[in-house]
Amino acid sequence: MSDQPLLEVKDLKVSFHTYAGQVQAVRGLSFSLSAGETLAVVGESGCGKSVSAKALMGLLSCPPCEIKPASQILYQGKNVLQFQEAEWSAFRGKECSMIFQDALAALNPTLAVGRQIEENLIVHHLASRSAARKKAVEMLALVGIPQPERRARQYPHQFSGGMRQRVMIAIALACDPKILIADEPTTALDVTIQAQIIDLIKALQGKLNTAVLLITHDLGVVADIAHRILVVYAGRIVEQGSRDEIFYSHRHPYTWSLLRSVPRLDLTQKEELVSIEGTPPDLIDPPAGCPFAGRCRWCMEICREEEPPEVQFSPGHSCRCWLHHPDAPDWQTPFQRGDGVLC
Amino acid sequence: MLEPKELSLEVTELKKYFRVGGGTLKAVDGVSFSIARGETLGLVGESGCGKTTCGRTCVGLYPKTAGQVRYRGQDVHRLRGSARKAFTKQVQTIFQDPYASLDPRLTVTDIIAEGIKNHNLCPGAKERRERVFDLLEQVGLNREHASRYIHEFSGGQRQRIGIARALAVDPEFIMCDEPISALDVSIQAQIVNLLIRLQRERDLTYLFIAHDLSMVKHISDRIAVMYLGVMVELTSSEELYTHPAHPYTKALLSAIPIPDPKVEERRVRTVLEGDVPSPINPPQGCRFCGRCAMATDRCAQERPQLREISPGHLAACHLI
Repeated sequence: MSDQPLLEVKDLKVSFHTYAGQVQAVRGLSFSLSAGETLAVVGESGCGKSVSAKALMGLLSCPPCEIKPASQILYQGKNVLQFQEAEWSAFRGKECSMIFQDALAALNPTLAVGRQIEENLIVHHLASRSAARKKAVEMLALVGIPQPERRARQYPHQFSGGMRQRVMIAIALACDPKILIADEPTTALDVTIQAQIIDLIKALQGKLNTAVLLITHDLGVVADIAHRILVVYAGRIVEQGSRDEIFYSHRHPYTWSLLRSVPRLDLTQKEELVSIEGTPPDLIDPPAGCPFAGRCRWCMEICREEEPPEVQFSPGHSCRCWLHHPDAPDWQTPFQRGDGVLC
Repeated sequence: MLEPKELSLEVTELKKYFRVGGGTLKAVDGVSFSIARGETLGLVGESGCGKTTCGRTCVGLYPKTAGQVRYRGQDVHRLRGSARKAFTKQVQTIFQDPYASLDPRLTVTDIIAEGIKNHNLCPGAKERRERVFDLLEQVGLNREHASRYIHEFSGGQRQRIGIARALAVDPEFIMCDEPISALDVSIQAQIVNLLIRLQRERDLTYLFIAHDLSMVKHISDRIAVMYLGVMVELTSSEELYTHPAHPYTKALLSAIPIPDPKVEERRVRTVLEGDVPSPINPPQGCRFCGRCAMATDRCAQERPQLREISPGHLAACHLI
């Protein structure tokens, strides 16, 4: 891992203009990603995780979407948000590529899968047509598709769900991108197939030193593959840290409830699941204070009025919650509290 | 279970075939199990293994091809007239997709009260409305929601309306067909806790179909594992997770990631190769034979029968 991060996102804000008003989907996201690292973005649907990924790839159509002018996405020092169309084309697929959740919708049904892999190589002038064809077959073999020569001539509908997802990975990795964005890559798949895909992403990452931005809501997958984790709620990062920090010494009530809302397969006693009552806030008119205040068991008066500051616990581990403020009442909570440095 | 309990649902050698272009799709091919009153039986398996078809055939939504389903002694597929109507009151379903299974042109009151009206459970319109309000409160919604339409609700709220609709006729048995898989993690816990609470309060019997094994383990007393139309293992949920017998169950369990990095690092995983084969003309012998690491010649020839390997633990494999 080099010191200079490959990708740096600074204060990303994305809104959508709708008839009902402006939906503030992403409200100030900042993070960085280094080569060879897996960063997991965890959150519920509607928290803005997919929108941020699409913003990184320049896939949001503006309007109705608006990326606020102060937002910066720096890839090797260049702000991608100021890219012209030609620069985007050179960036997408070659430097940074994406695996989508629904492979059937993302693949072109009228082209053989081999052609779809070749397309990427040819567009980026990385190979001649015949070399691209060879490479496409190699890629299919790399992602574990049996009989790759024959399969390359088949169409997406002739593949099963897991196989289609492998094809998508093959397309995404054909040009050796430096960043791979995986937007819920296994959500639609069965667990046995999910295990295959996760192992594949891990193995390929080791081989190609790709930085992976994994977007998911499945904490089990995250425990297996992530190095660092961002917990996102209502368009904001509520907690971030290394995998072990998030799993074993989390500081935010939302992270705590999220981890306890899923039953553990390896535990025998049946304890009641922690359910987070209510629903996430409406982002057309986001609450003034902490976005989680309405669903939080330890909500205080200040939580509804003022946004909590970021509190740092170790380099890389920080959280936004008023409970860590020195003046907060001395309540017993099931997660660790206090002793952080206010930023 | 120490005392013999009254049986609610009894399924013997149930088969359900569909005629498709390429031949016969054997979605359910000889499945037998029973559910005692007040019990939750979890039915798990990968997509396409026939678990939804099995559930739907059990509650009479599909005609059967062969075999028998008895609900409290009566053959579900032979019920006619008033007996059939009584059955539809006792047995209800919660569907996977609350977006597709609730009528968008009806208000919440109409949706929930439909069953009450059909079964004439509440003669007066005013009492009926009170009952709807009561049901909404039981599932954690409130009376202001009663006059709204389905599109005005979030996924979790819609699933709650689906549950209220099922509860409206005071059923004894509910077939839950993947009630939580379309929902967010934090909402899943809400719905599962609600289902567990309702079962305790009303002595309900559940057939709980899902592919999420950790959730199924949490809610079920016993679990049946299906693979390609047949049942490969059936036992109590503790036993299944502590001593899985069938190689498929073992692989399925090891594929589930555990949200704990330290546990996850120590685990040894058996990753299954390939996909589930097509249920059109499935393998002759053991259905799992093509993906099983330990398969022998016998597995390819002869179909293993479900047999008791220890008290209350059934498995279908030649190697046990």
